[in-house]
Amino acid sequence: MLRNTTIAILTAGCLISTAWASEPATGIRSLLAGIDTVPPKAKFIESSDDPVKALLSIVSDPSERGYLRLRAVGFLGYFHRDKRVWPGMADLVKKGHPDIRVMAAKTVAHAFGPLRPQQVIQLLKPMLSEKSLKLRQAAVFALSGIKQKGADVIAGLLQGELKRASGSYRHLLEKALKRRRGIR
Amino acid sequence: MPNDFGKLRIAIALSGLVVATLSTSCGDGTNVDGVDAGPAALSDALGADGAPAAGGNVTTLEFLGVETGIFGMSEYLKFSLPENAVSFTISAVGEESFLYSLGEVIDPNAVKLVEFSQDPSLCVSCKNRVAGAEEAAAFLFPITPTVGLVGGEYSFIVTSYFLQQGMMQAKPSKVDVRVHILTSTPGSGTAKPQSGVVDLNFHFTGAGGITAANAAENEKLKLAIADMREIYKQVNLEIGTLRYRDVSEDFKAVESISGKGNELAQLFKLGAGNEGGVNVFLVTSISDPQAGGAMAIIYGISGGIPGPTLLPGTAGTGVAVVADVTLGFDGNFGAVMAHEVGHHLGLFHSSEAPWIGIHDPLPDTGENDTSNLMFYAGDAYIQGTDQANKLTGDQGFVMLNNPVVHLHP
Repeated sequence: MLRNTTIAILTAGCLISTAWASEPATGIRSLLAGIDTVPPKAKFIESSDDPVKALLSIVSDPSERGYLRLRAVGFLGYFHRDKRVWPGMADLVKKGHPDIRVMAAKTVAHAFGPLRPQQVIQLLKPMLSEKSLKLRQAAVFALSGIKQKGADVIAGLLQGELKRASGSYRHLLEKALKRRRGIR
Repeated sequence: MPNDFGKLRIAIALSGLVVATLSTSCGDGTNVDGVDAGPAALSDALGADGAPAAGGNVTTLEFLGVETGIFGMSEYLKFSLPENAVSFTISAVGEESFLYSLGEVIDPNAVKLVEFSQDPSLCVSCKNRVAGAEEAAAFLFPITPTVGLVGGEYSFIVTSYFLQQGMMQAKPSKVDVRVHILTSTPGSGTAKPQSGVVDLNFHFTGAGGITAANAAENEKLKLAIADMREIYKQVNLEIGTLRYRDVSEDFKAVESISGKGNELAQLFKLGAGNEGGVNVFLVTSISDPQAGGAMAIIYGISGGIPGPTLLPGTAGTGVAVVADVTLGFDGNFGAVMAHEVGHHLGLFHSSEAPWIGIHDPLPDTGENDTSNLMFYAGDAYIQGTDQANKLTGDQGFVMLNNPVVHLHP
């Protein structure tokens, strides 16, 4: 038998929830509902006149199923050229439920890293100082994948972390630095 | 060609491989049309690749180093299916960044069980549905009770496609192809399996606090297995031997599921050397950066539909399941595990998402039945409802046909 789940839903960010809460998102919702499916961008566009609005609405709805909200954060990355997405994602990185923040950090690095690396680094850097190991791990992973011209600021940040890290966090940093060498 | 289904190895949205025979092989029986596996068999009787089947025997035929040529197609490969065959699987294990599928499969009556498809990642119109997969793929026959097997010579073509940034292009490759034939034992009475047992090989990355040392007493794991037993009981499939193994914490969070060097494939390869059974890997998260900027997360994934279940240690042999609590998921992964193992044994989603709009090839699974274990949407498994675990007789037929299942005599 399976059990009912008690979901601890925390709001992801007041600014976003106020702005987008009213957008109906039935079509988009069905795209997010799969536990092992990855819909392409075209399907989001076909499913809504304004997929960004619909995704932001789901992310910011505290009554929405948690895993749909998490997936919505990730799929906002498809629409990184939409002006509404960067400020929304930046907000999600900074505050809210840790799992939402983790997903936002990974998405921001993947979607915006190639476009505005300096801003992404500045956004993610504070996360390295979070008490939560989960958040620090997300920041390390997200930062390590950003391509960057010139001096490797990210490697410097990660090296700095490595000096005071231990256990699994240290292991992750070593893995991230190895990944970084592969990217550069 | 764009892959509209994403990482199909999954079940992605639907989401799931070359020469001659075994050892002595290939040479023996090559003819004008192709390569004939002929009588050479790697193993027969009980337990090919550690998969003993009390009510059935597994015979393995090998075509090693098959070349797919400039258009990504092998020549016709041939083998003989005995009259008492219950099922057979074709597996293809090749190179990274290549998707492998079947071009054609023709039975002794010249019926095309598989035909060339526009989308090599999934042939919906094929009489016997097949889903291609990256690096290591497997295909089960029959995949539905509507396909009947007959004794005699079968011929098939393996195809290969290079994957790059979400695009697929037919390209030459080299793959090892194996055919596993499950036959009923004398006295077992019927070629249609009625019941069986599947073993599970668990691999722990540290997710959920579960390790090989505490697994036997871990309440979370015990609960998940109990859930799975309950679900599979509907189709007379028992969970048999449970094996536990710790693997590197490097894969606790799986950060990529497709493409060269992806972490999921690396994780599944850690299952090399396992005894027969389905390899289950417990992780904290599964995410995948998509071309175009999105970061996809999923809660479970199978190495294929079906996976190459008798070939431990390939990029497609296993299922990965999230075993940690995340927003909206209480970490009880029994149903998700049952769902993914279902894929690995050969089940497609009973109904796909509306954006795909297709259903499995089974007659007795209702369309858009949200209570079916294999329905695409995860609300039921993730949120947990008692009604969301239905399996039908036809789904049981498919699962029991997989040669990794030990059939009851």
